[in-house]
Formats: sequence, structure tokens, C-alpha cells
Amino acid sequence: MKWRFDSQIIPHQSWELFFIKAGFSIVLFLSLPAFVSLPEQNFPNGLARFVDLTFLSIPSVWGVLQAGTLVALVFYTLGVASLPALAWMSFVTVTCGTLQNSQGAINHLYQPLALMSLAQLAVGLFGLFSRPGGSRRVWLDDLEGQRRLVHAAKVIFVACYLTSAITKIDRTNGQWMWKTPNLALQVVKTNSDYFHSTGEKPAAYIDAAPTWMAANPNATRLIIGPALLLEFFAFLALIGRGPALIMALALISMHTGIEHLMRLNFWIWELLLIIFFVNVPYWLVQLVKRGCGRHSNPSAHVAD
Amino acid sequence: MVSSSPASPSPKLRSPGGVAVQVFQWIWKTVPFRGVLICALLLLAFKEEYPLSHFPMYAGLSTTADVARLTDLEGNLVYFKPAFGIDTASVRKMLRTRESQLKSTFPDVQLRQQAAGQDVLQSLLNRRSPEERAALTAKGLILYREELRLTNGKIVPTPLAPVRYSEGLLP
Repeated sequence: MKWRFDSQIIPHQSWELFFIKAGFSIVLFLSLPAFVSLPEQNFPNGLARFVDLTFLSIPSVWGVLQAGTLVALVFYTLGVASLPALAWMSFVTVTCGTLQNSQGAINHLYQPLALMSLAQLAVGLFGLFSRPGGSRRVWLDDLEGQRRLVHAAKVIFVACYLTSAITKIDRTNGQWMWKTPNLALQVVKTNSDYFHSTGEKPAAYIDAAPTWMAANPNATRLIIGPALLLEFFAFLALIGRGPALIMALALISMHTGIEHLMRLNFWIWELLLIIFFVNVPYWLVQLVKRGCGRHSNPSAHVAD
Repeated sequence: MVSSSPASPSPKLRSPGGVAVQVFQWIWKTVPFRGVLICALLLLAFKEEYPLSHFPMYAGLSTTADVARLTDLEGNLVYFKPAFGIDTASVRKMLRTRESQLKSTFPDVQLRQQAAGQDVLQSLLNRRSPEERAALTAKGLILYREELRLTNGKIVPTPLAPVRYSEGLLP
């Protein structure tokens, strides 16, 4: 097969797809409790501009939503009736996320879950209606269809990073890397936020970080500036399994660094990177296979 | 004599729509990472309509920022998370959004900040049960805000007028 500089649909095995979808389902379900107890939508955003979504906070409605989501996630994970399952997942993540973001404070933590559900649904529907014989592949539950769904989720996820990078470049007229010493102010702000949220004081080295950053602007540019490049080139994770692993580990390191410095939370983004791009089960199996191969092949043993 | 084959189609003039479709098909076949590109363009176009977003977090890296804290009337800190189940960053964002909504009602900045503070505190209290609300407002609440400015490598704070809230003050 001729290699091309482009995104590739990774030929995941069915057991890999099971782990990826199970991981996604767990993250999605764990994120749900955050959506309850919002009786108002005083600052409507997205769908809430047209529909009153506060009914989602009614305990009985919430109970039905949670139970339905659990069923949908099981179906999705098993690759059975994937499209109806994705339709439900998209409905829950979009409506609940919209209600949460209609409180006057836009939050970007849960966004990828809704976007990834929607992207899979869109690609599934497109595949169902656009191809000859598509209607016979009920709900796209065959291996190829499942690979396409997972690929769609990966595409929208890396697009989020690219979008973030473009916004940074646009807002600073291309000077984002040069302006990174200004981040000192944001470090003060976010650590103050964390203290006044929880009462937990930051570590001494974090307290000293803003002063150091302001006093050493070039070192700050060198340390923080590459984050922009990492976001911009996140799409390279779609080239293959190896690049996916490298890019994911780099992005996780970036998130972890920001978490320490600014007490911000990226747990959903990090877990999604681990699930879809690091793909631990695949690499473990490769390691085991390699180990078994060496022991069962005497010539390989001698060569060592 | 040369006869034309009946199977060969006569050349047709292409409509602008047809050309556009062909251009799109060419891009779709040629441009790498087109899926990512289209998704990114979609996200950038809609800016901030959930779940679409242009992800503007720390994009501007401005030289100003604001911080907030809450105390009771005796000056004891009231932490947002245990009190209201929300973090300070969200409260700050709510304050800013409410302020922009009140721009036409209160042209005076200080009055606007006061009104926004009262409204946001009220909204946070509405999320709590009557018992929790009574406990929170028994000692009164004061919302303090500061504007931080980065000038010549130094962070200079400017306090804003505090917002006092006590039960019965608002309708």
C-alpha cells in the first residue's frame, strides 16, 4: 500500500475497538453527575437560545436520562445498534452541556465528549445513507463501520487542538509565543481562584512561579511557547499508531504541566488522549507478542 | 467516411454549481487532513455555541485579569466550592457575562458591577436548598473583586467596590 501524508483510518482489531469504546463510555458516564442541579438558564447558549433546557435538572428526568445513557453506552461499547446509541449519547451530552454552559460561565472541559459523540453520529448517518448497500449494514455495526466511527471521534478531537491554536494566533496577531510571559498574571489568577474555591493554598514553588516568569521572559517563551506548536500539529496524531502515541504523550505532558502550574482541570482531555491515541491495550499486546516471539524463536534468542 | 460512435457522449457545458462540486471533490481527494480542516473551520465559524467552540482559553494573553473572593460580614472567607458547588473561575465568568448584559441598564460601571454581583450571588443562592441558603446568608456575604494588571513585569492589584449581600436586601 502506498503511504500518503494524510490521516489514516487505523485498522483497529475488534478487541481494540471494544477497549476504546468502553473507555469513552466510562469517561462519558463519569462526567454526567456534574450536569445536575441547574434550575436556571439565565445566560442561554447554543440550543438553549431556542429551548428551555432546565427540565433536565428535574430529578426524575435526570434519572431517566442517566438510565438511558447507561443502556446506550453498553450498546455502543458492544458495537450493537451503534447509531441509536450514539443518537442518545449526543442528545444527553449536547443538552446537558448546553444547560451547564448557559449559567454565564462557559466551560470547555466536557466539550469533546459532545463533539466526539456528534461526529460519530454524523459519520454513521453519512455512511448509512450515502453508500450503495448502506442500508443493509444496519446501524454500521460491522468492523469497518466501527473503525470509521472511532476515526471520526479522533478527527474532531484533534481539530479542537488545531482550533485552539488558530484562535491563539488570531487573537495575538501571531505573537502568542512572544506574549507567553504575560501568562504570569494568569497563573496568579488561577491559583487565587483555586484557593478561594477550596481553601487549599498552592505549593511554595507555584507561588514563586509568576515572579520568575515575569523576570525571565525568554526562558518562559522557551518553556511555554512550544505548547502552541503542539496544539497546531496535533493532527499529526492521525498518521498512524506511532505518531498517535508520541503526540498523545506530548499533549498529556502539556496538560499535566498546566494542571500543576495553574490548578486547571483537564481530566477528560487527558483520558480521551490515553483511550483513543495512546491505546495502551494495543501496545501491551505488541510487547507480549514480542516477548513470546523471542522465547519461542531460538535464533532470535541467540541473536540477542 | 468517419462515423461518430453513438456511445461517445457529446461535450456538455458545466454549470457553476457543477464546477463548485468538482472543485470540492478535487479538494476532498487531494488536501491532506481535510476532515480535521473542515471540523476546525466549523468550530471557528460558530465561536461559542455549545458544543461548538473556538477554544479561546488563554488565547489573548492580556495584561489584565480579575480575581474574586467571598467573605461573611465578619471577614471570614467563604469558599465557593463547598458553599455553592461552583469554582471561583465560573463565578468570575458569571459576573462578567452579567455585567455585559447590564451595560444598557447601568451605564455607570460601579453601579453595573454592584448589580451584577447581587444578581450572581442571588443566582448561586437559588441553587441551594432553603436550609443551606439560610445558613449561608445568616452572617451576610460580601463579594470582593480585584483587577490585576501586569506592568513592567510587576503585578499591580486594583480593588473594586465590594458587593454586600444579606437576606432581605433583594426582592
